[in-house]
Amino acid sequence: MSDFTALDDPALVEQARHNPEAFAILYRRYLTPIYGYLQRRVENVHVAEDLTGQTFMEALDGLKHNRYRESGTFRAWLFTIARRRLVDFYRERPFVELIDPPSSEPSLLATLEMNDDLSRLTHILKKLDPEKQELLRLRFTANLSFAEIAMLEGKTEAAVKMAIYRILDFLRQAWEAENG
Amino acid sequence: MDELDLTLPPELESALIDFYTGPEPDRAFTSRLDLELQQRYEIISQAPRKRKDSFMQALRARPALAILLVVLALLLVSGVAYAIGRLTGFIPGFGFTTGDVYVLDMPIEASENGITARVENAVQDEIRLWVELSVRHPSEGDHQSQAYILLPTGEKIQSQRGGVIIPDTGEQRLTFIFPALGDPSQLVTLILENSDGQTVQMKLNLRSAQSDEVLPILPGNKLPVQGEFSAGMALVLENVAMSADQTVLQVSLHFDKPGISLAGPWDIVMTDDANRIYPLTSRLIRWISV
Repeated sequence: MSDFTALDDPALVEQARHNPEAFAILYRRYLTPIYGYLQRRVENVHVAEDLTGQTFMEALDGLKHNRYRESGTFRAWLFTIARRRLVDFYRERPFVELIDPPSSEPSLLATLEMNDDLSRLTHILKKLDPEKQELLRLRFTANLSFAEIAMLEGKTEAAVKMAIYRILDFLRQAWEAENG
Repeated sequence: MDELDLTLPPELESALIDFYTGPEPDRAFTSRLDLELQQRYEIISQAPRKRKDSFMQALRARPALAILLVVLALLLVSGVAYAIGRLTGFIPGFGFTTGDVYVLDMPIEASENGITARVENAVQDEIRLWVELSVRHPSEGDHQSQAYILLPTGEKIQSQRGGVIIPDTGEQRLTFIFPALGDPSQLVTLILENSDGQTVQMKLNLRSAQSDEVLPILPGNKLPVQGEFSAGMALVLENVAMSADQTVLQVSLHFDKPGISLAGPWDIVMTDDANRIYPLTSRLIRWISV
């Protein structure tokens, strides 16, 4: 049994084309960021799971049928698929049911109630337009690099970096203003 | 490049990380999807690689696609040919419209000595001037007419030949061909004289053909010329149009059975009695099923 966990993405992708174990490593490596990103976007566990499944199925098909090219990174490609599935989902269902099944973990609302800092941050983040919120999601939830975000957004790396810098600077100023 | 030169307050940084750290997927879901992906991987790997159908097989399997491709190809061919034709001054199917081509400005009619004549068409290219007119005579009978062009200089030019068609209406449809006029823009007089010596005269006003003008074709009883059938098909010369630098032959291919068409590439070659080949410079293909 090969140990693929030490391989970087490009090597793992090459192996994954003909080795299911390599693909399983890729899946485990990116399941949480993809799921987390989709969950943040749809705020629904079932939908997020469904979209996550679709994303990895499409990625598998793409790798097996050589639709993935080494022009960017595998992670960025994966998020491209995820965002495409998201677009399709919203096209078919503009409104998402916001009722999630009960969870043993504390809900987001409960977490916010427990944490004043999070509550304050949420209040500030609501002032950002959707595009800026998406940049923050891609940066902090998906853990994408500026270059990868630039590829997804169709912008230059420098433009993305500048945009995120300004957003964070805005957050910092708002944060300090709220804290007096 | 991947670091921001911006220091955030520790509480804000911590809150950001907490807020954006995505929720962990449910373990049951993780295992289920893992299993589904493995199964999917096996299915894809075991599935025989779908052999790519050849283009012709694809066409056979999808007649609608074949028809669509044929229509697109014909549109492309005819569109390009038409565009080239227009650029070179030829209106497909009708004749040349550029160069020194003159046409009748407007139909003219005159009545004299009981003869009514109406000039319907007149076209002069660099070789000839032909005039088509309808004539009604005062009496029925076989009227052998002659035509002349009277130049302003007093010179009289006789027609080279004339065709006669007598339809049921009692009118004569006559076509006369003259040598090309030296100055077709000048006003000349067309004189028609019947066998009784009766004449009718009309002023023939020609104007330069416009670049996009459709020209009438010389009527005549010598065209079309059909070759003999060979292998179920025959070539038919429908019309000829000439200019200084090229000659357009309008030909059609006739089949002895309906529903037959040519398959594969084909070309057309013109040779003369000395076996000299006259190269094809451009062609327009029209497919008409009769």
